[in-house]
Amino acid sequence: MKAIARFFISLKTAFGFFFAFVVLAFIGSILLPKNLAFFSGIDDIPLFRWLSDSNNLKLTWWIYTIILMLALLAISTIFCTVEAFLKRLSKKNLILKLSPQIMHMGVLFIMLGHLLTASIGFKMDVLIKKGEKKTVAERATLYLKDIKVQKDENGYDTDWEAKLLWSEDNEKTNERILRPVHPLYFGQIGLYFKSVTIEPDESALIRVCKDPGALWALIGGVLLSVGGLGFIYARFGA
Amino acid sequence: MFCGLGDEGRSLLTIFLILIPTAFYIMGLMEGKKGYYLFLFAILFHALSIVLRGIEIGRVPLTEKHDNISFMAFAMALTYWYFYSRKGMKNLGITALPLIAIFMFVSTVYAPINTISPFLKTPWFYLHMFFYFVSYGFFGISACIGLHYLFNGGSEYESLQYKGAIHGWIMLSIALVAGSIWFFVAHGTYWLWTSKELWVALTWFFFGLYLHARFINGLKGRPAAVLGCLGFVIALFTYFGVGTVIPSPPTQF
Repeated sequence: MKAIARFFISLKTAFGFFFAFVVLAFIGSILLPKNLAFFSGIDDIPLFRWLSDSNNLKLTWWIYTIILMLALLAISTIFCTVEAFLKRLSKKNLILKLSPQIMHMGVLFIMLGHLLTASIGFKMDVLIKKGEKKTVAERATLYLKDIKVQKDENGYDTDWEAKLLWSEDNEKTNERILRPVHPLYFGQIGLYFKSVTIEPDESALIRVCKDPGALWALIGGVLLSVGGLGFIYARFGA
Repeated sequence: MFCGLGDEGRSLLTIFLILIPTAFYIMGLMEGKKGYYLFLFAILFHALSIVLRGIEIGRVPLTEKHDNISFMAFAMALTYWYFYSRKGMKNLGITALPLIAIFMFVSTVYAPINTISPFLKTPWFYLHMFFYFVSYGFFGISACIGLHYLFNGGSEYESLQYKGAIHGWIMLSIALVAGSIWFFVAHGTYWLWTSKELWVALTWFFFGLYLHARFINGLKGRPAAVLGCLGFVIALFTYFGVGTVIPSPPTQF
């Protein structure tokens, strides 16, 4: 057990995992554009479902290896953080000693977020015409009441909005306005405006998704940022 | 129409506002106080060019390559100024100032674009871009200090290279967090499997690798400094090379 702990606490081990990730990401960045047809659906459904459906180890081995590397890096991060809390924490220079551990925890939360996003949840794109009603989740329906598009003097679309009616179990109905970068949330389900068409029909392309990992990734992001700023303050600012 | 100038006048003004600080940055290479004051003039004119560009387009000028590269050079100039005035790095200019001038020149290669997609109209996008290019400013100056260390030695330079890189890495982390939030509110996802995203992650992990390497026996000193300099090359490739040298077509948009 001690040997395993020593292995994961070692900076050389973390260095090795970082290096492996760099190499794998490089390989992936070459393989992705060369096999675009194969990878075309990778962002449309949770990653693990896509991996099991795609069933082509020749093209997906690097993703599996990246996941393995990140899992090992997560274990290494946990060992390092626990060790730091057990051995090195004292009241002297507390922010300096604590901030890297807060950053480590942020990275762990981000990994947890990605893990959840890759495992569960769903994504679907709904093309809906004005005056049309569509079922978008198990018991929810969406009705497109109106669309407005703003154009500049050159005819370029500068903004657009859709008036939507959202109802669940045919009971309560919510009338809301959906705009780009202003998503709507109904419980855990989010609606995002992807694009708008005026001719031949007035229609909107709306992404409907449920991402249980996003909140964890956000918490991780906040911890990473706060820990980072704390480190700069304690190490260089004070 | 901008400040009473037509399109032609405006382009001349844009070039003028870019070339003036570029010339002053190069003249900043002069020795002594003269060089320092010329460098300060460069910063002043550069800041003015960014402000005027913002007034021209009516928003923070951080939405396209022409403005972004100019801001990257500005961030680098401010970082250089900090290391020059606070850390006494008087001889850093020989690498830093030509690099800043090159970026200023590169920014003129890209034509200014004045329209903006509705998907970029959120403070998260601007925060993402701001911190992203501030991180490049730190990485660039850190690499210049690293080169100085590799050619001339001196442990204080190695330490300052680390200082620059860790500031850059933390700024990059914040940029990626803000960028993820922007992309999530715009498209409902915070990660895409494209070459661009992989290279951004690669850059972050590479600097993580450098920051860890610095504490490993056998990698301390020169090998780690080489990694730190290489990190900036990787960061530059991520911005300029991915999408041109390595294609990065989106898989779903």
